[in-house]
Amino acid sequence: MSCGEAQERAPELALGILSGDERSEVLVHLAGCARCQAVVDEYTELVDLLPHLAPDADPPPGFERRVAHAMYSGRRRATRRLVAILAATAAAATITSVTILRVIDADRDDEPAASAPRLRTATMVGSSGQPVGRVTVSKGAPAALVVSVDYAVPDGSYALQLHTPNAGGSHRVGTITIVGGRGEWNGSATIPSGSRSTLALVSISGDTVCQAEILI
Amino acid sequence: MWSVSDDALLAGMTAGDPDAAAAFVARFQRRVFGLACTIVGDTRTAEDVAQEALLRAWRHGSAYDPRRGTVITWLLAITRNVAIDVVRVRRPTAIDPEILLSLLLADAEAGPPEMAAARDDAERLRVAIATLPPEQRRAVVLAGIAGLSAREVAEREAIPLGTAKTRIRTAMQRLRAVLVTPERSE
Repeated sequence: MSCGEAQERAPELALGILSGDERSEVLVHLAGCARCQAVVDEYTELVDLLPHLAPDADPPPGFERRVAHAMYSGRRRATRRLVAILAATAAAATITSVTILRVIDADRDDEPAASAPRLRTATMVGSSGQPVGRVTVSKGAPAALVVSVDYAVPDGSYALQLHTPNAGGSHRVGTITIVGGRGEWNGSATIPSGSRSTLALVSISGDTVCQAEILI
Repeated sequence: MWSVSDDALLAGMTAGDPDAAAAFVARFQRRVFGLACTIVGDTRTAEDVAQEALLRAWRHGSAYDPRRGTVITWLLAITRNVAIDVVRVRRPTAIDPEILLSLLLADAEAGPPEMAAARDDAERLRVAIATLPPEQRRAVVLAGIAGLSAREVAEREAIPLGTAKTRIRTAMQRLRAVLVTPERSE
């Protein structure tokens, strides 16, 4: 992807509305292009400002008390429609293991040729098999890695654990922070060509909340 | 308690101080609830959204990174994300961009001094949005506030996908040009 193409997509990336594949390609480009990253940062500042335009409004009487009760009673108020609306997100809080792996690789070839695509994308899935994000890997040594989580993972910090069975087992490649259900991490790691590796998000208590199988 | 900085208040809340948490909620509830109302459009759901946003801030305050923005910007981003989740489950294309615009482009209150910098930038943004062509204005608030994808904007506006993308991108480019002043880009 060229700088022009990346910067053309920068507004949608900052708005969080770029589709998965395009988003991954832009993020891989940004991992190696400080100039385009700076442009995206400016758009992100703009997007962050938009909510400041909303007018202030007084919440209903008793709101502060209800929030305090929810914080310290250990019991969250059974909020009407929001319970149903956010049920999918809340369900992910109970994810403790992953039993289903699914790899989406739109560019996959049985026999990779010299002209084979340099990017591979794998879906991160939770225990019930629902997609929660994606991992994009570029060929190379080390390989550029972009991890995007945008659904159903509880907020917090998670270790990114790379497991490569044929090359020394498991090691931590970074930390990803999920805020408001979304998080991104850009980095690199050495992944032996032809290996079948697993990248997992591991909580502070050691639970794997989601993972993806990656092939390069 | 109002003399305590936003960062200190968040740190106290994250450390488990109930007084800090109460002060945090008192300080930001009108901002959070106002944004929630703007996006979801009814006060009952907005109260749920506002409560959820404040609870997420309380639980995950340690994830706040001051290098990436102020506390209020972080908190409003959380609120927006919760509200967008709600909007997405409802029928997102039912959102009326004109109502959103009427709320967003109205004159703002001055607010506390510690929020003045963000308010100044927001005011410049408000003026810049108001000067956009109407179709770009609608596209940028549908995408930027309500979280609609370009495809959903196209459906909502009954225009081709390519046109929706062009409107969003052009509007964002114009707004960026207004906000990135020479001194900021140095």
